[in-house]
Amino acid sequence: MRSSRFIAVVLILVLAVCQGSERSIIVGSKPFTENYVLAELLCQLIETNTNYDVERKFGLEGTWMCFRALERGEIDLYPEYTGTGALVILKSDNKKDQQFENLRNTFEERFGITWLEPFGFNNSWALVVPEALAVERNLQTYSQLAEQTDLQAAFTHEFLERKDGWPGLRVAYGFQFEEVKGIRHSLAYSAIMEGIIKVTDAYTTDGEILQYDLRLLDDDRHFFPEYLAAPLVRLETLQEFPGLEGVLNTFAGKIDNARMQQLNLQANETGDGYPRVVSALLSKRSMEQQVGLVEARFSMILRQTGRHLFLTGLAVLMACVAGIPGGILMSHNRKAAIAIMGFANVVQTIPSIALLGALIPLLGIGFKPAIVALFLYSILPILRNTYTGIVDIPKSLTEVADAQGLTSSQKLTYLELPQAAPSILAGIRTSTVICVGTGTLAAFIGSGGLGEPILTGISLNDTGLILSGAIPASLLALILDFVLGRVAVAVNPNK
Amino acid sequence: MIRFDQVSKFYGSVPALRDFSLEAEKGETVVLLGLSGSGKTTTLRMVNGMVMPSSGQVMVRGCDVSDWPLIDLRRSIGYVIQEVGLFPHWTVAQNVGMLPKVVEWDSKKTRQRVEELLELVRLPYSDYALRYPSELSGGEAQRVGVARALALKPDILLMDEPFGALDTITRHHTQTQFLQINEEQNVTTLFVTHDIQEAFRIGDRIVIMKEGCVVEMGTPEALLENQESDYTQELLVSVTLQFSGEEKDDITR
Repeated sequence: MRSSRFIAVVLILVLAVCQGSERSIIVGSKPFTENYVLAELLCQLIETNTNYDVERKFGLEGTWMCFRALERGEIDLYPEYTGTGALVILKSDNKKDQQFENLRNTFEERFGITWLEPFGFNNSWALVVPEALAVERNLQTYSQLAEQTDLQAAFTHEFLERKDGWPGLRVAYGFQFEEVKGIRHSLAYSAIMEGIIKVTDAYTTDGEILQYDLRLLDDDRHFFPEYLAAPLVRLETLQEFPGLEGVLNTFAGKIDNARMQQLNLQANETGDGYPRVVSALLSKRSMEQQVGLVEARFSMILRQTGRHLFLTGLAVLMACVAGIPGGILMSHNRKAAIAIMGFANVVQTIPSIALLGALIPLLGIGFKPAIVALFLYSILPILRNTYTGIVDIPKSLTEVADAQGLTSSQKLTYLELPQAAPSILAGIRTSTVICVGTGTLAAFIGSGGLGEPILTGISLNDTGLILSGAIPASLLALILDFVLGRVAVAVNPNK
Repeated sequence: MIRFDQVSKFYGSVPALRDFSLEAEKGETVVLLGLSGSGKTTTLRMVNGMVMPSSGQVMVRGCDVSDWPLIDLRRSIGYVIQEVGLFPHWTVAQNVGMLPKVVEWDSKKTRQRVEELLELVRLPYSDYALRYPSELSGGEAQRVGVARALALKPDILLMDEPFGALDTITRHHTQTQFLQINEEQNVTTLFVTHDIQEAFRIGDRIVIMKEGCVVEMGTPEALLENQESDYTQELLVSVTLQFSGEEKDDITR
């Protein structure tokens, strides 16, 4: 019984690690509730109506990353908004470009990517304030809000950056708030509830507008364009998977603003989150689904743990393969050592998010850049510890080795490596722990692993989901640290 | 066996050894005696090519050191230093068997040789073979060091203050033992020390060095009878005092 369970766990880990040979449809999403819901809806539609496999790469950070991934074929589709398509992707504020038919034609011609039918609702950007404040100051429109100068506002980073966001809006209405800060969308509502901020950007379909008793103000000068949500798909994908287009259009025009607000609210309120809401929408029996979801979360944790171990293991292995010989070479050439260590130190000081971001233009998103970044972080401790491990060997030992005519390879295997082993192992141990930690951040660029539930959890304000990534990640770091500590004791040559 | 021919060594413009000439016969033990900085270690390390002369010629077995394949030369010369330098992660048997392993003797032959060598330095194989260096006393460790140096039956042995770190009594015993071994093995030995009594006890010939130059050289007896320089005279006062005691037997052995 026990052994069969063990075999099952190992099998799941192996399966998680191996990418299936059959190509699956990769669905991406941006990191906020509605996009998760829509992406999940598309996934479940494919899963229930076709035999194609689906891979989820949810929570990709921002439009740019999603679209780059789509362009490069790293994902096949994701839900996008027409306004964003025109303004951010095409960089055009021409009203004509924003019309759906024109937009679709431009995308097909220029990118080989098409817009399927919109779901029906218009998720425009909007500013919200607490209902109480709105009543107190009689706020209905943006023009009225613009007269208030003693308010603190916090906006999402994308809203702060985009021309069709805060910079344009501020000019259009002449807003002058006391303070304007950047914040993650999911945290903005907590901040507004705690009274830290009074104004934030929201989407017209946000469930939180109902939940937190916020007032959506009226865009009385019609600054914001239309944001119709629709699946953005590669044309190649549609050809490759016959019947896919029809399936993805199942909900075309069937979800209005009110329904989307409701779905978003449900997704945020229920502990199990968006997959369950989507299943309910596809009218499956909920009891069955609930049991399934607990299992789904457990297997998700196992799968992501396996993925995390695989990422960490591969990166550390690569770092060993490069770092140990590198350290050995450095110990034979002290001048080069100083230069190489300097370079490795610089790499180490680059903030991980920045490094991950910098790798996107070179390597895209997903597995490759994550591995490269983790490798770069892991190599320094191994390189440094190999080098110092060898250099710190007592001079009397190296002198005897030289004086008795050991060749440099004999000296390496008989003396240098055994003596440096504890130091090298300490380096590998440090690297592994760094890798497990940084590995959670790699989920930002769609590498998978235990960072994925953490990031999704933060986006959805779902503590359970955050912990289901954070706890296994911490345990993983502690366990690996402990195990490698024991190995270090075992290989210590100086009995 | 070993010949220095007007050898000088400069580090930059700093002379470590000047115009040094010496010939050591087969089986002879030549002691280089001097204070630190007198150039004795530099001289020693020229024999196995750890230091190359700036000018002059060092001949080993009739062949210039710079013409020797270095690895072969070094394997044929035993090397013992004050810090011993036993590999801490190897047992006594592994340390003594280092060179046989390096030249790929089979394990039976290696084991035989290690047993023989430990016997020679009076460390019973059954007691000591499996010990790690950290489990040895200073004297025991140095005897293992000597055994290791003798593993491939070298005809030349270089010893750099080998007994310098030992306490007086242990040093005395170890010296006695070394003299016996040296007689049995008939090895040409170059022995560096700053300990005057040790020099007179061990050397067939003594070279007194100062600031990279030879002050005087000769057999212990000759040096005791007649000193040409004041420096030697000064040095020898302590030895002469010792000689009146019961140690004379050992010294002239």
